[in-house]
Amino acid sequence: MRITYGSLPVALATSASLLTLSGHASAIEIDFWHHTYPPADEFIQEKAAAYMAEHPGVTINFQDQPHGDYEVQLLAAIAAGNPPDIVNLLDYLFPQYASRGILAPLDAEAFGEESIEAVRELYMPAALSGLTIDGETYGVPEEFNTLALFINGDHMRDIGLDPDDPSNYPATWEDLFVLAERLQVVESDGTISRLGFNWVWNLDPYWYAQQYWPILQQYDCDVIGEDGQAAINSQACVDAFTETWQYLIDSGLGGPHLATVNPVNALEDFSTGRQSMAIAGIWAPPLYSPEVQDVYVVAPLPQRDPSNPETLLNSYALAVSATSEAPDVAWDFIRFLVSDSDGYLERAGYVTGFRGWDQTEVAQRTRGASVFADGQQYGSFVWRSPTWAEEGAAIKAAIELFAQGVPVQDALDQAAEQIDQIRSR
Amino acid sequence: MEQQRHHPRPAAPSLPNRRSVIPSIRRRTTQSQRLARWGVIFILPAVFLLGLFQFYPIAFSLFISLHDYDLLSPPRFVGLRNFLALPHDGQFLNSVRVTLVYVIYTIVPVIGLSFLLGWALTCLHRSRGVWRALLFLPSVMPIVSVALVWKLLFNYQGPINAGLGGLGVDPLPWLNSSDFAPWALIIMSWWHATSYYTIIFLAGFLSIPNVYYEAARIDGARSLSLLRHITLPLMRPTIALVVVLATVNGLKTFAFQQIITDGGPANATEILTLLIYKTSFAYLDMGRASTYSIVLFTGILVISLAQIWLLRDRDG
Repeated sequence: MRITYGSLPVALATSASLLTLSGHASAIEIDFWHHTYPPADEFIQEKAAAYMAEHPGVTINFQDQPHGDYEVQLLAAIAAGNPPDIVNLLDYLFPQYASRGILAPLDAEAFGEESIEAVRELYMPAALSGLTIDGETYGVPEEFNTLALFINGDHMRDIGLDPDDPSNYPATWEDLFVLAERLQVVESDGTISRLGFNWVWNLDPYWYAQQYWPILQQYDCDVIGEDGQAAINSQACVDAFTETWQYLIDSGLGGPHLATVNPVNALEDFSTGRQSMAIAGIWAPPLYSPEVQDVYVVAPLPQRDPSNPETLLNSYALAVSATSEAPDVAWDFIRFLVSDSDGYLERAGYVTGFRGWDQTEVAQRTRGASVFADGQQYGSFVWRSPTWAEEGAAIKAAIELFAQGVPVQDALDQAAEQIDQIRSR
Repeated sequence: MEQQRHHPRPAAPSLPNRRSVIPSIRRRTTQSQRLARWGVIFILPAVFLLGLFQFYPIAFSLFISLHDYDLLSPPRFVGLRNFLALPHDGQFLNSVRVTLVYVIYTIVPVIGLSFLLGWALTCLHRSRGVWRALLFLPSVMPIVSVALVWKLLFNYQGPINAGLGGLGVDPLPWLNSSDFAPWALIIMSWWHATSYYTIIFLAGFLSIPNVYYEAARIDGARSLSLLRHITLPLMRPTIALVVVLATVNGLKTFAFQQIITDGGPANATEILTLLIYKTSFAYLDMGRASTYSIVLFTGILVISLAQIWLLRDRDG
């Protein structure tokens, strides 16, 4: 943030912020960095313009960067001691950032509530848990996500199934692979012209984690054991990967070589109609082609035991940097922004995680909203670790190894060894 | 007895008197000092920029390599811990192996191909400029575009596998196999790097005076002799330059691996520069990344000096 009067004392800046909020002062700039997601970026910029119109003294400088570049730029800005006022962070980074004093604790009053308890009351029970470290909450979700299975309705009709009948949706992973085989189209020369299902391949470790985390939970597999040592090579984890990821590859239904890689659309094959089923979040439909947007249906994520469901929770959240000179203005703007929960859902496919988000008219019109709302009740965030990125990369490498025929146990043993080495540094 | 020969001594020039010499020396000294001062002033900006963007980062890397630093909190001195951990660092050892394999399998064919293509261009007497421009095209194309195009070419359903299919070969998982992915990058680098070094070789070939060849031919020399006794010795400095440049550029390669495979599958293409980048900005371990950088820097320096020494012009 910059105050254009140069080096005015903090007290003056604070006063100016408060005056600005009441529409009497000027010259507060809030830098807001966000990862690039065009539907959301457009929405945010419109909201920023509306906020600035209401608060003539405030300028919101919105800047977006592609995921990956964005994190690097943010790190560089933090290292240089000049982070933006508002940052957009994935939940697994919160422990790392908060523990180093980079993030300001959520200011309930500036957020428009009397206390932090009142803020928590606004949200679904788990929505703030991924952003709370040692009892202190450091952000609010811009997206509070979970996963579901998207199915191309036309493809279901092709094999004689009614896409609007939930009993046709696969409840377990076995059901999923059976359905995938039926949906797959193989040409006379053996080439696969339509995939029934495939994992998302060749992207960053977090993309892999989003897909395997629910399965690991369903199989009671811990990435890290209670002793702090890697447990990813336990029998439960080997079974989890063997019966799901490896099975798909061994049965010829999917695999990395069959996936089309598009760095800006991880769901390229489903988006274009080349694949019949894909696992994704509620944010995904804006990426689909118009033809697929017309026909997709949303089913719950397949389970190992449907009576004891597990899924992923994740959150791309908004936080205020500890060095911001107008944190109250920043929190006020965040509240202004996320309060338009319906706008976020309708324009960007983001679920803000407010209680009752799924009861609004917009949510009722959103396909699969109830499926995602259910998942938010029983999901969990990926494991927490200060070396998460490196541990995630080790597991990704293990998946890529067993996808090439290395036994799952051997690949996971390598990952475990690497994780232990990382954690022992 | 040999008669001693006396060479007449040249007459000593008549010296001007002291009074007239001193002001002249003083004038020259003052002038040369003034010139030197201007020289210093003129090189100062370059020295400043070199210092800021070359020497300072190197010195800072060395400083950080002795620290535990995650970009988010202040550096903590750890002495040589990062260096001592290298022999047990699986990721680092893998990256060194991947880098060396990539450099060796890239530069050897590239130097041979470039040499042949450069020589072939000298044989052209018509349209040499057009061919030269065409051959140089890969080097001037934006590296990201080149990488993305090759990524599509190597796709499992891509044109290369389609071509192999036409020859009755099963499609290959170019980018998804730890065996094939390094080769995909090496093949792409052949295409990309050859064009650049061809032009350097061409310049070398064209700098050899034609009269040497004509004289040798008159003496009955044949093509192989011309190559052995004229071309290769005179091309030695150019070959040395290309070998050093190709090795250094190979060791510093980053964009292709980052864009096409991001070091995968299973770290099979994770060259050292990519590991340095990931360790810095994904794993937030600047101390370890700086240690890797120092090792890479030292490696490049030693290899370059060794190559220059081995390929030096011993007659020069």
